[in-house]
Amino acid sequence: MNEDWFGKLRDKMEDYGKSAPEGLWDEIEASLPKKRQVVSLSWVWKSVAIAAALVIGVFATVRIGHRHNAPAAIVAQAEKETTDVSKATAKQETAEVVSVAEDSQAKKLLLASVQKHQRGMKEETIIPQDIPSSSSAEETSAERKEDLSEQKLDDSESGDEDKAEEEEARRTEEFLRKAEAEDRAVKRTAHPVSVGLSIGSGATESNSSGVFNTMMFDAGKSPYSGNKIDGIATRAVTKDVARENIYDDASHKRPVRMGIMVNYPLSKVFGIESGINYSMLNSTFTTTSSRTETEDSQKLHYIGIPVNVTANILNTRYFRIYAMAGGMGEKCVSGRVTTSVRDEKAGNVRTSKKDLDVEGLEWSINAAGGLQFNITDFVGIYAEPGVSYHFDSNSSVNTIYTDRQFDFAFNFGIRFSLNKRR
Amino acid sequence: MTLLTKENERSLVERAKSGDRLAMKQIYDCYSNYLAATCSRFLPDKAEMKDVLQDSFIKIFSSLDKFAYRGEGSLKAWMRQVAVNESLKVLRRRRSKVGSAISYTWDQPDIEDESDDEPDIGNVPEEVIQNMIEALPDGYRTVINLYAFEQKSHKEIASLLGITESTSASQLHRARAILAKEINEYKRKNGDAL
Repeated sequence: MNEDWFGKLRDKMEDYGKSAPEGLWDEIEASLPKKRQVVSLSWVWKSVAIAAALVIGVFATVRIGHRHNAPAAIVAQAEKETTDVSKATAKQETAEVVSVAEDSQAKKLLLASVQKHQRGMKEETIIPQDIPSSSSAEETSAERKEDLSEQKLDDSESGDEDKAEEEEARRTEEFLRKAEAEDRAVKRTAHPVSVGLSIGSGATESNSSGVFNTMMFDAGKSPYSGNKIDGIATRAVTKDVARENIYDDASHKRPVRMGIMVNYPLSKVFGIESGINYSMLNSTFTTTSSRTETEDSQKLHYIGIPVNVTANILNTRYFRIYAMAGGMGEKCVSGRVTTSVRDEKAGNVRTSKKDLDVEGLEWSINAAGGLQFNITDFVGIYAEPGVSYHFDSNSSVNTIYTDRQFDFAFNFGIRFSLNKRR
Repeated sequence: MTLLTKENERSLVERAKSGDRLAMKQIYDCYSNYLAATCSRFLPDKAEMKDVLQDSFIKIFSSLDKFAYRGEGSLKAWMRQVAVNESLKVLRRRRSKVGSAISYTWDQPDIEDESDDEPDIGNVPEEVIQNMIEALPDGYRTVINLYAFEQKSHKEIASLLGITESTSASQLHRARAILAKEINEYKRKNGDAL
């Protein structure tokens, strides 16, 4: 067989084009995930910001070193700020919780009305509806579409996986029930002891609201006890009455960081440290259309390298209380999305899983207060509640880092001190 | 087809990666016709071609961050790869719907085999050749596409389509014979013009 002839055929047709179907672009554009418009900071600026945080940390520690009564003053100020925050936001938080509750109620009512409506329609075809231009709504819907199309393929290719799917569907339902129960639990825990901070999400196109419940401050309750650090429920609820009920709901669980740190004391008061941190980011995105409810459960694992300046406020044989400030670079090492589509009409739930790549590095600056229990002179375990700010990365993946750039953070781990403490 | 210059293309890719719709539209405008031709060589049915082209572009734009620009032609080659994969997906799905292992024993029309007469295609318009390929039976068309255009070996084709290497070879042989015959006929009919 003459290979040459095939080569000629290939060359002949190399640049041949055929008019693409009309209107295809519009359909493609409608199905594309909407990327967040990110204003990317250059590496230089990120470095500058981290350096600035370090400098602030150093200055703060120098000041602490010079003022004997500084620790008390700082604690007092911190307390004052906390009180102010809670005072200022306690009301708002209550309002948020109520509004969320109302939303759920409204959702139920709408669902009921839609179901009624659907019963009425019966044979009528349901025209797929556009999701309003809330970014995550479009993203989820696009993803769902892809998942569905993959699902179709899977269906036809592997009929014997039905059993596994059923099992998965059962588990998903269980998960959904559990999630609902947890949701209710979160609302119940909004008691006066918890400190609440509410920050509007700033989305312009949707009636979005953010609810922060920092359960980690609950009295007598270790933040890591129990099976959930269900600190945060950010809700971006989009309603469009004209299009029946279309909801979008993004809920992020509070990331808890585990770390192994090495601290190098520069003086009695302050030191510099680095190490390695692990964080798991857990998010759930829900999109409800008139017919389906799609839930994307996203799990991302990050490994980070922090660089911090620490300043001792109190340093005894057994305990160390300190303040710290610094920066961290993080990389997502593994990610997974489990999508479950609950079809209200067909009454079934389909689930599919796919791996998720989050490209690039996440940069953040952090400040925290820390409590350390010294096991030996060199080794201690620490717990650090604090705040962090995450810079925009160019990632299209929505995480708590992108949705709540400024956030509370909770770190705990083991710290090795290179110099003898006392 | 408008071709993009190297620098243009690189920056277009970067802009599209960051979600710039205008950049995506420009990429679409440049390559949609090319990919439409590629897809319809696999799936001549207009509706199927449209679906697969749409899926391909969605896949292309949503996985652009996995694409690394490696100079001129790299975007085109990568996009084409995506479109071919999407087309093959549809073909496989169709096969599994038929649901039998013998569905790749395609119809084999009687032709005077062994015509080693390989006509010169230099003067035959691309559109005519495209139509001839699209008119080939499914199996012949898929194999000649993969072999001649995607430069796959019979071994690769066999594993892609779930057929044996010898089936792949015989399908190709017959496809080529049909094409040669049709091109010769075309040239005879349009002898004066060519």
